[in-house]
Amino acid sequence: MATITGAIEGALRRPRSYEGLWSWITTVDHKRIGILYGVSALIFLLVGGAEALFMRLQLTGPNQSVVSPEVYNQLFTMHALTMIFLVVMPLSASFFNFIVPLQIGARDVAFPRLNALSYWVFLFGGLLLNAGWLVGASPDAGWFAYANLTDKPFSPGSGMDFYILGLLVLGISSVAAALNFIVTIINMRAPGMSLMRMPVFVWMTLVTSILLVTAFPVITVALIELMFDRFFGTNFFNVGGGGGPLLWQHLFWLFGHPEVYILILPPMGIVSEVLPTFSRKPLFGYPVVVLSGIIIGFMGWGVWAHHMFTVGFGPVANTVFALTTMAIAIPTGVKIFNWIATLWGGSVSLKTPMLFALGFIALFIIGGLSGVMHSAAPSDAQQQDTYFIVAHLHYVLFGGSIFAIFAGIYYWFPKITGRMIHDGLGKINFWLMFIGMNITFFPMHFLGLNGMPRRVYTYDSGMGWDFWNLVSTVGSFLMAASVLVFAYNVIYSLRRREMAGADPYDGRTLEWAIPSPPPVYNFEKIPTVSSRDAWWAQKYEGKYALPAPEGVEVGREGEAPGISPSEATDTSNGPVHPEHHQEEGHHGIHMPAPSYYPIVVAIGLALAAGLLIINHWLVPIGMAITVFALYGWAREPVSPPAEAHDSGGEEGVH
Amino acid sequence: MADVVYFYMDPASPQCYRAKQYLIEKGIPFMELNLAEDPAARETYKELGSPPLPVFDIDGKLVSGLNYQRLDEAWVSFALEKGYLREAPPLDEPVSGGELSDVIALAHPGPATIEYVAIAAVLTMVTLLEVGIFYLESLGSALMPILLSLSSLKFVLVVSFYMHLKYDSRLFLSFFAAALLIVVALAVAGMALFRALV
Amino acid sequence: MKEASVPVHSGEVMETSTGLDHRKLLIWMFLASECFFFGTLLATYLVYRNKSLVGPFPEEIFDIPVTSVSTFVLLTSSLAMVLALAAIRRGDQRGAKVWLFATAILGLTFLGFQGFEFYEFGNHERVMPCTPGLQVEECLMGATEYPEPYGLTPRTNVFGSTFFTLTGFHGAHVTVGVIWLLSLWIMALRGELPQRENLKVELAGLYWHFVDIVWIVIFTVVYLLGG
Repeated sequence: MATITGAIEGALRRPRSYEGLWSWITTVDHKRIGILYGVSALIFLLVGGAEALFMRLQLTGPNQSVVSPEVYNQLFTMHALTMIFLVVMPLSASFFNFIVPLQIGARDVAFPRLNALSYWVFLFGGLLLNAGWLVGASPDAGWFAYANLTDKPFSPGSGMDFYILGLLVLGISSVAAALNFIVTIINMRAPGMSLMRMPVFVWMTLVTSILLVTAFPVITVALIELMFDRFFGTNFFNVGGGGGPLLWQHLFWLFGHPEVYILILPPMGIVSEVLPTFSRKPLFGYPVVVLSGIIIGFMGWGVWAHHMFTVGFGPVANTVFALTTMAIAIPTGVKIFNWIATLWGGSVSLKTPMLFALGFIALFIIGGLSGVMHSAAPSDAQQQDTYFIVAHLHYVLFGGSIFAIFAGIYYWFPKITGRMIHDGLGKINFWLMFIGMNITFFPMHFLGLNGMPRRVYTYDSGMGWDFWNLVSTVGSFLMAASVLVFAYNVIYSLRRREMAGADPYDGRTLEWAIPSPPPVYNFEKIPTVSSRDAWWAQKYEGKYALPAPEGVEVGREGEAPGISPSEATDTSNGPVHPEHHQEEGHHGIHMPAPSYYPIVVAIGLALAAGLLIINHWLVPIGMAITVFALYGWAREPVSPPAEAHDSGGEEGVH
Repeated sequence: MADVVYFYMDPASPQCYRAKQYLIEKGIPFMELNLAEDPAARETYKELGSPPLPVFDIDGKLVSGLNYQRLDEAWVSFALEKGYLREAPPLDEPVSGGELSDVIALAHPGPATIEYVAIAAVLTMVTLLEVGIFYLESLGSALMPILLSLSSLKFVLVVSFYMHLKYDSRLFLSFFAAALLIVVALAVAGMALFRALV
Repeated sequence: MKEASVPVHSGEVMETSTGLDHRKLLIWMFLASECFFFGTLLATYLVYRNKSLVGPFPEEIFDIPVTSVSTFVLLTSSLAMVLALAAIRRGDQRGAKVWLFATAILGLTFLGFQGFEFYEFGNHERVMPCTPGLQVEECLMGATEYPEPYGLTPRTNVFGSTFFTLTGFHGAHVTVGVIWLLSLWIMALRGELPQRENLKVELAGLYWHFVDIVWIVIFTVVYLLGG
């Protein structure tokens, strides 16, 4: 036993480097993992965007043949899967990682290595999902992959296998990350930060995480059943064996609707942070906004059948689900009015993040209203599977989620990189995207009401669809241009090196109390929180937010605004010398050490899933790697042994 | 008085938070009296004369405010008297909860071994009862509610006693119960929809 | 194994907002998630009840007495599990070793029963009457009835698909639990499981009892009511 252990521990000796490529591969720092998530997701955004452009090119005019029907089917399926699972969710996860620990005053997440595992599993799962392109067989049955069309007799290629296994692997990543964030938020808040003092973004992260851990098991079961049908000939969706197609629809939408809120709640949280900062006012109706978010998350479980109105449940069931769906408009509307009321009477500054947040409100209202239109079952029967749905979902997912995420990127860019992002280029980015988005998606309302079905690869002339399709394609290239401006802006701003300082936007929450980019341990001293908007309170109300040494009562009156965080720490700590601080930061704070095992476990998992497509008998290779790495993981202490001896300090991250 | 430290606290106060961490860290057994939530605790707190929080009542001896030294002294003399500590720790050593086994046992209230065995006996009897009822053909449509109730009884017994939810933090109970309720509601609604159509 | 015997921080009380250990909160959230997993599998089984077009049907192959015994074994393993936890909290290392091992062995016994059951279901036979002209060896020899293969596999019908998937995933969970318990037992044998690390046993116990309550539901809903 000891020799095996020794061999394993020798093979993967604890990484020590904190710089270079290896340090990124082995990192367990939540900030670096957040950046990895963000960069990967933005690359996937380019992939998903390119897929969308191919589709728009194909639909520019009637009877085009830019791509074949088979490729078109793969394009719209992969566009949806990429944008949902590889762009919006990981971009939200990126902010969860980078921002949540800072906003709750923590040094890291509760399980740093599990966090790294989530990222690597996400990355390899995303690559596995996209691997179908390499063999010319990507999933092609739409993102909801209705069985039994996806069973072996009707989808004989390996495209649906990539779908099943890719999503199963991504599900592991999402659930692991969500469990981690639930524990982090419940358990690692700074002293004094009660639940109702948490920033709204943290709240929305918590609600989203709870939805993730509860919704993903349902899709996991559905995917496993589909996989067994395809690989082992079971009968879940096989009518000949007593199964049927309806089960998949129920299971998929039981997951699918909470998933919609998984996509929109974190962006709502971002907007709830951006609006108060750039209005220089607290969020209007904080408790109501938080409660609305919780209610939206909870009610997300009770509306799944509105995706299935045309299945024919009969008037009673359809009415019940129409009513629950309409009821969701209430908490959503409450949020929108609170955001608008936040602006009211504030000293509004129209910086780029604020523009994106305002764009979010406008576009989300349009998308929300067309959503309420679908909630009436008879009206939905008319709109089902038309471009009207495409218009609706892009208004809520692009106009909603993506706009808010861009607001978040512009808002936290200085915190993440330490550099200001160019505001003028940002405004160009915003207006191109805002105009392009409306030109692309608004005509789809008309197309849908004129009867254009979604997921058709071409159409005949004379249907009345030619003009608006052309307009829509033009708009899509405007959006593409806006993304290029964004990419240029990021590179330009990083090179320009205009240093941001700790608090460039006069922020309200704790992440602005520490330097940009934050040091690896985030907070020299864990802050003590005595109100909502803790950093704002410290700056302007003289309330004490950063910690005093043990037993010292501090009440600082009339603190000057705009005080830099390091000064703030020093004054509040009285006679403590800065050098002493540095020393303490070096010796007193124990951060978890980097580790190889998360990436090895992720490689093993993805390999096992990928090998399942090639040959069932090769799967044990991947599983063996996973088990080997999990064993090493379990034996590896959180901190290297050298640091273990003096780790009794109160400030140690455990 | 009882065998533990009575700890009066206000959840909004950072000092109280630190005090609680200290008690947990040292393994000192305590009973938390939350003034924000517990009206009875507020009454007793008033009777004590509302001294500054946090307040520790150690066998009638009051320690008010977050003073680690006085808290340690009061605890050590109390622990010596009760036999939690065999001897007073030297001055330069940190105070601890005493004999670890006592502290761990105190920190984890739960059934005794005999009760565990008794619960296992009940679980076995209920299972036998279920199987017996299963063979009674005369029950007809009453079979399902009876068997489901018996099964739920076993479920609740294991969760409350073996998984200690009866004694553990309410947080665990609320998460687990909420998840179960949602699952059952969804399963029932989904099956009703499914059956309505097929 | 010097470094391995000093796992940093595990077992010590952490400074957390709720005073609860991270890992215990994690495992409870995980179990809440698992409720959805098994709930979905069970709901799939129930919506496909009586939907099979061909046999074998549940009442034809379930062997309730045998399954009752395996249920008893799993319930008893839960008792052994709590006794292991109580022992390590008392500081009773010997008791902890004995009960951890007993729990794992009872879990393995349950898995043995399940393997036996799956094998029996797969190789089930039914007795058919001989009809004139039937080209079956037994009938040609003059017997009045003959055994016909009537096995249940996941491919046979939708009952087979849902039954094996549900109980198979439960069995997989038991297997993971057994590996977990045996790892703890080996740690205890090597003296790497001191009293202050009793949380490690508690976490395994929570998982183990959860697997047990899932079986309590499966036994009643699938075996006793599923026919």
